[in-house]
Amino acid sequence: MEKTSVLVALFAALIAVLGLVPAFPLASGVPITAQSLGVMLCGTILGSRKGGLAALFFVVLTLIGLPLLAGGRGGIGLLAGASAGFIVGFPIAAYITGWLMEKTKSVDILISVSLSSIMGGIVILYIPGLIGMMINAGMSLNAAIVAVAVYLPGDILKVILVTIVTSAILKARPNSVLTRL
Amino acid sequence: MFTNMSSYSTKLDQVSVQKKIVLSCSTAAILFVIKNPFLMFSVFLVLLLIYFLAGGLKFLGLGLYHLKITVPFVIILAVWHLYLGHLDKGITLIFRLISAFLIANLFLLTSKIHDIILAIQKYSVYLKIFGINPHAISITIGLFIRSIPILNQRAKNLMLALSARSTKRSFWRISVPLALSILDDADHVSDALRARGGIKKREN
Repeated sequence: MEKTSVLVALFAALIAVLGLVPAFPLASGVPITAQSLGVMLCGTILGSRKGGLAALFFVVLTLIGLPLLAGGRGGIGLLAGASAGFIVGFPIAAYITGWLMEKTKSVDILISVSLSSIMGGIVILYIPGLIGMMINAGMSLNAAIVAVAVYLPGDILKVILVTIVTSAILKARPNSVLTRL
Repeated sequence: MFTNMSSYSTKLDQVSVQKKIVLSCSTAAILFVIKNPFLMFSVFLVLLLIYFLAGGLKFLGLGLYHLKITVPFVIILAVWHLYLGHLDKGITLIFRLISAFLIANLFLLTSKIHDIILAIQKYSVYLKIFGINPHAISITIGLFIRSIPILNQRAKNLMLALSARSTKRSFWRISVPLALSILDDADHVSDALRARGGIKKREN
């Protein structure tokens, strides 16, 4: 109980920190919000239930008004913005990522992590994201797909990073990767 | 970091946070039903009037200043809808976005973060119905808020340690130590919590 609570709080804080620290430029200098990286990590390390909870916790507190999203955004007004779908999709993405990790326990860690974070953090996350863009920006499906395609290279980098981090943690702290217990 | 966004005192400061949460969420929900551009624009004007009545001209200016984060979205929406020729739809969407932010900011500018968190804790008692332990929620909220500056500082320290070793400043090099330190913290903090009585199984 205590452990769950602490893990949820710390990983939700990790998602927040990934959006707050502006000193995280990628090699190209393009500031891509690293928050979906945190969401994927929640899924791959904590698993479906706890990972989903951590992301949900973050999203609920952001929507209530804490300025935690990248760029210091927060509040219920976000639901009218173009990124609304992505924000709502965070918990779903973390849950699905974790669920896939749990289903692929016997597979090699590198394959399992990259597959689940591609499915959860990109495919599943983009579905509500696209719907949100279609509703809030009045775009057609095709236009929305073109608009999110810009983020794909960044997201693939994040998947690679998540894979590196998760496999490194599995080596260093085998008992901390809850999806592999 | 979580101080009040505004130092102006307004007439809405005295209204309880609960009422403001319910009001701002319900008005924000109503925005999504409105399809008429003129109606949406008048909602926007009414909101500006509320800002003015609540805190005078300076507060209205502050409210408009905090809209700056919507500027890129507004430009994208405007260009996109001008390109498509759906002017009325574009106006509706733009003013819906601006009005939603005005509502959310009005709530944030007139309530202390501290009060908001107290309100969440108070109402999380009702989550018992879903089998969620309200005491766990309170503990998690406290831990969450406290650990954001800690993690932020740790990321900076790791970055400093890295720059002592390398001229490249890249986030991916500190990501593994950062994640490891979080997991170690989780072990220590949960043990510390348990040693101090732990999370109550049932709130009486």
